[in-house]
Amino acid sequence: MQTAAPAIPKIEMKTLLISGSAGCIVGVLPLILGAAQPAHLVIAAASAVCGGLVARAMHRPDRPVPAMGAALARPMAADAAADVAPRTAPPASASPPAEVARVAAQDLADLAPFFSVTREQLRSIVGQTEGAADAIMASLNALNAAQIRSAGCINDTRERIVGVAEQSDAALHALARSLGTYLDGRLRETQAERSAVDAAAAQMRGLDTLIVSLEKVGASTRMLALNANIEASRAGIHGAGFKVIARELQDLAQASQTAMAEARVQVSNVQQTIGQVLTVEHDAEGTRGEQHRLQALMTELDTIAQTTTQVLLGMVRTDLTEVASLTGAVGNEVLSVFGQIQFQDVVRQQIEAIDEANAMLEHCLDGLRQSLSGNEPEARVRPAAILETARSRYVTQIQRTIDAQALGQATAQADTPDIELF
Amino acid sequence: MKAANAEDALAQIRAGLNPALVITDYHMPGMHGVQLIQELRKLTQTRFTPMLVLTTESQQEKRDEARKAGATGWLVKPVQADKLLQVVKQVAPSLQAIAA
Repeated sequence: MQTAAPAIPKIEMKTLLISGSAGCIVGVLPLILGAAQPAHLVIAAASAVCGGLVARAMHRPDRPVPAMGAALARPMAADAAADVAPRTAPPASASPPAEVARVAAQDLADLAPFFSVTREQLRSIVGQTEGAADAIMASLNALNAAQIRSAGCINDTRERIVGVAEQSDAALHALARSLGTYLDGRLRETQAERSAVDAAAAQMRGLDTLIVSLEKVGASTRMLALNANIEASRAGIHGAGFKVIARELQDLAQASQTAMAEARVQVSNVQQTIGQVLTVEHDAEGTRGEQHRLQALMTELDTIAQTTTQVLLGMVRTDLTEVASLTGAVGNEVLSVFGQIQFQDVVRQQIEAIDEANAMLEHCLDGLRQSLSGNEPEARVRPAAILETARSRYVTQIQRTIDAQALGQATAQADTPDIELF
Repeated sequence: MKAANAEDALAQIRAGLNPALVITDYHMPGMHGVQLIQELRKLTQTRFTPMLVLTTESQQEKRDEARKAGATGWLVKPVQADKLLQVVKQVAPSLQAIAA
């Protein structure tokens, strides 16, 4: 049995286990189980356990290493020397009794289901880990893509806002210039109109003065005619001719006074007419012009507002909507990652179960070693008990399903839902 | 609020924390999740608080044990986030705004 073990698989196994990672153990176990003869399996597995490497790789701080395992955990070199020595020159007296050897062989054969189950559980762990890693990678890629797209949208939005701000600024400056020009022109026009009105008023006041002067002339003429008439009456017959002249002079004064009164009325009418004309002209043409200019300015302002609003609405409808959508997608991906991370707890419990089973295997193999060495084992662990113990520690449906599949049994369907509210 | 284990959760709640919902694992160092629920049901402030067990454990016996202890629901890991949120909305409507 010992001489049938080739050296190469054993060396490969120890090299892989030194890293102490679960991945290496996964790689090692198929190598162990793939051995053509049970003898390879025993020696390889026993060497690994005796070297303490499996225990170190799988050991958790909260679970003490079994005493027998600790006793067996000696350096690899010493272990190898101890292994090689009996193989190369076994003393005849050290050969185990036939019955002990038979029992040991049966125990080793009985370990096959345990190894099958363990191998499949480890493969399941690898599969779940890879699946979760792939899903997390896919989510991270999606997150990255969403982040890049969001950054692009935000950058586009920023550039558009800057563009709109620059355009609006230029348009508003132009509008302000137009408004300033209009107000300057309007001020000049108002000043010119005021000057013209003031000049017309001054001219009208000049006409008033002239009329007053003419009225004074008329009053003097009337007084002169009255005096001339008095003097002509006093002169009697000699003043008859002069009296006619005085009467004519009096008629002339009367006519002059009437004409002055009429002239005053006419001047007043002219003043009113000029004022009305100025007002009407200003109201009609000026107001229309101002209306047009103001309308043009308002249209320009409205265009700026419309352009700005359209651009902003466009950004809200496209860029920001997309950003909001991407943000939602990011949230979903993050939640998906959180969901995937739960695999760690599932896998941890599977590994813990395998860890416990390995500890029992260690006991079992130590018992075999003691039996084959001619000693009575301190505690005998039957191979079937290892598997049963491992099964009793199952907590997940995955473990039970994998167990059944590894042994070629019908997979028990879970009759309970994954989510149940009581 | 988070608690490292059942004892920590009990200590926080006894110190005055009044949760709207409790989500606990089953397998934890020390007291397990169903024992925690049993203890919480004895406290005034958590007598009617919805309590979910989120666990890898799928044994029907454990599930029955949780039901008897006063658990509101049992969720087997891995649970998709949207389904978890759906359950949270269902058992704790006051948290709907947060869950949304």
